[in-house]
Amino acid sequence: MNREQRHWSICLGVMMLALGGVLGYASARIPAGVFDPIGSGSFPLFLSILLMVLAAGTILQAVASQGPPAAQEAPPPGKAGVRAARLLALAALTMAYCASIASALLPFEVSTFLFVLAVGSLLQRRVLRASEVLRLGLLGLVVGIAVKAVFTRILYLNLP
Amino acid sequence: MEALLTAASMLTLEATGYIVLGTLLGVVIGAVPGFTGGMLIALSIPLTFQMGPANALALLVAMYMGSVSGGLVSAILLRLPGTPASVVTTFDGYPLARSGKVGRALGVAASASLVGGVVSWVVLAALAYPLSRLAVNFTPWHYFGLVVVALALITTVSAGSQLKGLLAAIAGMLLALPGDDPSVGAPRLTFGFGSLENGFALLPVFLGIFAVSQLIGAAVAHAPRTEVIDPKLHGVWLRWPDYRTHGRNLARSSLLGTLIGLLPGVGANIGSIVAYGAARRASREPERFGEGSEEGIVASEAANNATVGGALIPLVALGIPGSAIDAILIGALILHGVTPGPLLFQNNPDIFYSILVSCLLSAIMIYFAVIMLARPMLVLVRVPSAYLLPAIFVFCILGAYGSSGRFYDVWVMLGFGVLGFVMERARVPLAPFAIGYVLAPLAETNLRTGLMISGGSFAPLWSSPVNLAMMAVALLIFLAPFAPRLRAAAEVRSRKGTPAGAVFSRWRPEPDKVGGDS
Repeated sequence: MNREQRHWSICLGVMMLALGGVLGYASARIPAGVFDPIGSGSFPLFLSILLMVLAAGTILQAVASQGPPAAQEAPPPGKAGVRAARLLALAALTMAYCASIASALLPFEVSTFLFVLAVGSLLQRRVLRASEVLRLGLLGLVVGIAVKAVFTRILYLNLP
Repeated sequence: MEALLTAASMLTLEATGYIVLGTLLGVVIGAVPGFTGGMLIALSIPLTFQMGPANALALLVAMYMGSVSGGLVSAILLRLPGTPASVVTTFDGYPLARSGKVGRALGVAASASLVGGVVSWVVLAALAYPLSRLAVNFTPWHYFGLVVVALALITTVSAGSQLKGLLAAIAGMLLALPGDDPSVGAPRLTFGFGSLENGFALLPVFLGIFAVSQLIGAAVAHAPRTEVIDPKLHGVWLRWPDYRTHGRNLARSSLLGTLIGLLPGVGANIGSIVAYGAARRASREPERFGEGSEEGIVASEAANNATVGGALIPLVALGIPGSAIDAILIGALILHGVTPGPLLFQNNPDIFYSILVSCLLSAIMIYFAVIMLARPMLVLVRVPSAYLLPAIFVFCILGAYGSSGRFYDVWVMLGFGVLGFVMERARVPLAPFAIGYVLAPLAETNLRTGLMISGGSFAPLWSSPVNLAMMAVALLIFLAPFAPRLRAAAEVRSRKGTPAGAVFSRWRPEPDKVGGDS
């Protein structure tokens, strides 16, 4: 287990501990069944406890794991800070796109055009040439129009 | 014979068109590293809402078959396995192609895929109905026992350590529980949110876990560069003596793949690894494995295609998914109002025949698609992800929205996408999560029904010989990975006189097994 994997394992373990704790607490508050011997709460409660035990095991395993010496570890792709910034930017763009569609702030085609252009530029990881911007813009336009046509004309689903 | 005639009658022009489309899309997506069949199928489910369930399943099963085979093109030409199932194909496929025999490598792989697909189709056609007849007599306790066996298998054999496999399965099961309690019909674990009363819908969960998580991962990963081989197709069509030369290997690998596919959670990647090992042991030239051996390609491709038919058997006969993609297919069936399991043959026989037809036609089509499309597929494989990912992201968002017309499902999808991303980073396999998610309602409903019948007693779990056998099998499967540690403990004790407990004083994680079919 390398250092990055250890960090993610601990992160997942904490998430699972929280999930098990919240759902376990809610399950314990469900009243016992009348005709049903175990009621609605017992099965989720059992799973919650099991999940918390396994999550604790995952955290302990990650903490106890020594892994290869730093020199032998494969170099991570790019700097950690850059990757984190890229992830945050992707999350922000996705949130903005979803919020724009949900609130109908901009027409769907325009939101999609901007989203494809922005995410495509983010994924290129360098300053784009004019031809690349043009290509991404064209792709955004085509995707926006085509996807809307598929959903509204073929599947008869109304977009927000 | 009557079943085959009925199956043939399902082959309408419309269904054939969907099978052709599904196979081609599956093969193309399977060839693109980073994109999986699970992602394609989850994305395509919203598009099937306007179809009948039989045509929808024909399309999705064809995608499943195609995506397992598509990986061989990039495995042979780029040394990049398009899917985890084609990892083993790179061992010999790429060296053979590099030695100038590109057509031969593609031809051998495509032919092996065809044979593997057809053999597993025969087993599916022969076994599914008798197994479902047997399953009609199952009690709730039998079903609960089956789920326990399935969970033991998926957590033990899937990629990653056993602890992480179990963590994924239990998390999947637990997240399937908020919403309507199936036994009482009242909402639970909703925390007062009205939107949660129907729980987390299958489609947003699977889109999040299988598609969004990969998109997030691809956004932060570097695409590896590799030498591309020009696909000159000389010698691509095999002749009869070639089939005779590889006959034994083809039969062995296809049967092994089918058997492995039958086991829940054991994906095509494990099937190809096991068959590759068996072929190497049986070979007269084991030293050529890894350096361009045709036997290696045959074993890998016959086995990984055969697992598809094998995995469909528990799906149609018992309603238990054999792999992550089967879990998505079960979700698709439920979304189309069809209940998978033994009553499928009674209530919706057309679905089974549709699956049967799709499997066979798709297996045959893959053979031609792989050979004909190798060159154009390379163009798509080399399209930068910056152009593909945003478009797929848009489709995911609208797919989740379109499943219910509620934006809530888009947020659910994004949430599960983040969870899937964290799981992948922590090397926690996604397949047990998806299978646990599908199996949880089955496990809970049958456990509670069984307890109501037995008056609250768990005794039927061990009083019936069938259940006792299932529990024993589950226990053995679960404890099997500890056997080497127990042996090591015994050795340490005999050599040094160390107490056995010392060996367990520090729980070392197992080295990761290869891949996962998620």
